[in-house]
Amino acid sequence: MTVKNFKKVLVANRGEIAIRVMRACRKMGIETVAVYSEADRDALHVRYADEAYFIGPPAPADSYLRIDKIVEVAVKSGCDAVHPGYGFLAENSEFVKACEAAGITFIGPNTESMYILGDKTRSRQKMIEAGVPVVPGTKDPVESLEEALKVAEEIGYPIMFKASAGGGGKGMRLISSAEEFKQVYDLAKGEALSAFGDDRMYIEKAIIKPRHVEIQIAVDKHGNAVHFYERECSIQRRHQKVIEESPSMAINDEVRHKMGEAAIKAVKAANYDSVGTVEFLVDKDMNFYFLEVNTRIQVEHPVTEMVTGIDLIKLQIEIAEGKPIPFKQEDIKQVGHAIECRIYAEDPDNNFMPSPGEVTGLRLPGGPGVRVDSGIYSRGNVPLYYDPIVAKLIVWDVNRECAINRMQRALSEFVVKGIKTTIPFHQRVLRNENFRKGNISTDFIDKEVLPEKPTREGSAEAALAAAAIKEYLREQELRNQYQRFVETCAGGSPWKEAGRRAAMFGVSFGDVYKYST
Amino acid sequence: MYIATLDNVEYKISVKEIEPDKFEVVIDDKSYIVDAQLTESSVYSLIINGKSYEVNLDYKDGIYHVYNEGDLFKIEVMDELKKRMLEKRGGAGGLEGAYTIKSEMPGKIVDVKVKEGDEVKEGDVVIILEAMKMQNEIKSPKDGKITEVFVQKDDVIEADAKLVTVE
Repeated sequence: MTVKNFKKVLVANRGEIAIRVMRACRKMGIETVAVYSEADRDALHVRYADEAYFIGPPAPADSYLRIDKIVEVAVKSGCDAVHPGYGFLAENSEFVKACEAAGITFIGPNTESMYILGDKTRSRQKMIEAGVPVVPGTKDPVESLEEALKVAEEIGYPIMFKASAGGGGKGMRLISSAEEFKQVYDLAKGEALSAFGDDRMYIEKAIIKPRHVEIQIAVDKHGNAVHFYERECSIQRRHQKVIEESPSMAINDEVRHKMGEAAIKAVKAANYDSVGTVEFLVDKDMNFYFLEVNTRIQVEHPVTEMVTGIDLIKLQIEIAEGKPIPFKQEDIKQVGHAIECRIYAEDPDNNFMPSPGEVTGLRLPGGPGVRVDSGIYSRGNVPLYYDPIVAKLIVWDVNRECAINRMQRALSEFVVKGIKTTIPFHQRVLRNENFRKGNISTDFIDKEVLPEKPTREGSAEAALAAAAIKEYLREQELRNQYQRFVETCAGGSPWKEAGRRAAMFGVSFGDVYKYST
Repeated sequence: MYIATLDNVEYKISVKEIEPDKFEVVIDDKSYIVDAQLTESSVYSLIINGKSYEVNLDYKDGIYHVYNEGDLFKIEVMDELKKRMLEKRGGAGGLEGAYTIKSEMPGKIVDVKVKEGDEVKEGDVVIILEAMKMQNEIKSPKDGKITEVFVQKDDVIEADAKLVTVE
């Protein structure tokens, strides 16, 4: 095994993860190359990188998903390696092959393991062979609605309808009845096709009140494998994680140990050689079932970094360089408690509608134990073409209660203006009693009625006072504008003048009369 | 005097500036001395009777959206006289007659589920709009007939664009 030292790495991604990867590279003395679409000329990752190259129009299919263009930039700019981040080409074996053909190292697993683990039906079969517990369901994608209904009937509702090429919760639906299945069948396949270019779907039995617990692993090219314990990712909306933490309250040390062993067994069965994550569903009796392997760095990797103190992206790069993992399983300790809140550009008070646009103001939280991984800046733009994650807020403290309190403090400091974000939603979740007690499952957000009551006494009065003062100041400003206008205006018909003033200030005749008296 | 409406409850509020950035605010006969400082981009720091609040304030379509520790307060503030006059005129009229659904966000039209002349029920999906890689179902807010369709599949639209009219 030849060991290389990368000199220059192309980051085939955007947003916070591109910056996170570049930070690791900069720390390692590796130069970075960014790629960007038309929508991203002013994006932060472009400014952070040592070099940046344009790759095409805003739609991902025409830019960030263009294997040929990205490989061409990597070759021309003299890169030794490409880091894919998450999403886009991160789990695309064709991209890995194209990199290899161009003599560029792909920072991620080999194509064989990606082929096995990248497809849910294939990986499921592999896990059954390896003796890793799996959830009952179909081995192959279903071909038609009729077949899907038949299979669902056999397994028994509720079922999960999942995209074979899926990930990140897209194209995945919980279905409770045949009637509901008929309604969402085409929509779910349409989403899968749009997100992954592949509408094959399969069916799995839904585990009721499940917890989503996953194990972060790393395997080097010398056969060494370690795990970094678990992350609890049960707080999800539309099957997309929104809050993650480590450790999980759903398991005890014995189960934690068993899951770690099962995770390593799973990736070794697929001849894996990078960092990755083995996802499990855990039921109320702490039985765990294999879900899938994410063959990439994940959004929520910082919570593991915070409790283990290990830079996972640096490790991922070192493994790609051919270096052995520089520590053993017994050296990895899980210390304290970390929580991550994903800050999405969505309006939680309007059914989580996407909220792209210009960030007109930004204040990031700080203080002890607080980390922000972000791709936004004041006066920067959040384009409508990409994932809505604009930042991740991660905190660490000695135990879960302290970490929750610290997160509440950090969220209250976090201000993003111009676009709506999920910060208020996180504040409501974090003060929810069941969340604080750890009584959560993957349907927490859908089922739990989040409290509408204000956090502090006098909160409503403060809001009323703020709105009234703002209205008062708005009127004062109009009055001042009017006065300035009058001073620069001479004579003419009073009616005509009032009309002009009303039009100019966007106010009514009545208001003009009011401000002039 | 203002009438502020929050969660369908009306509050009578008067505001008097007693010195720069300091106000006497009377809400339904209860008086508060409010020290209000505008910090960055409409974030207000308020000190009310010694308690400190930081509120995030946006103004949209005549409604103040006030965020305080994750709670959203949607408050309509209107001059008392104007409010009474509007009430005499019978208000805004709800969703009677023709109603044009507009997009609340920019995005790409993935599917148009209706055509002119179609009958729809409240809650029926009329458009599927993709933004930030999520498909969003735009539903009819009322029963009625589609009288106009302004968009077609694959159109890229801006926020506030007209989608369909239901009558």
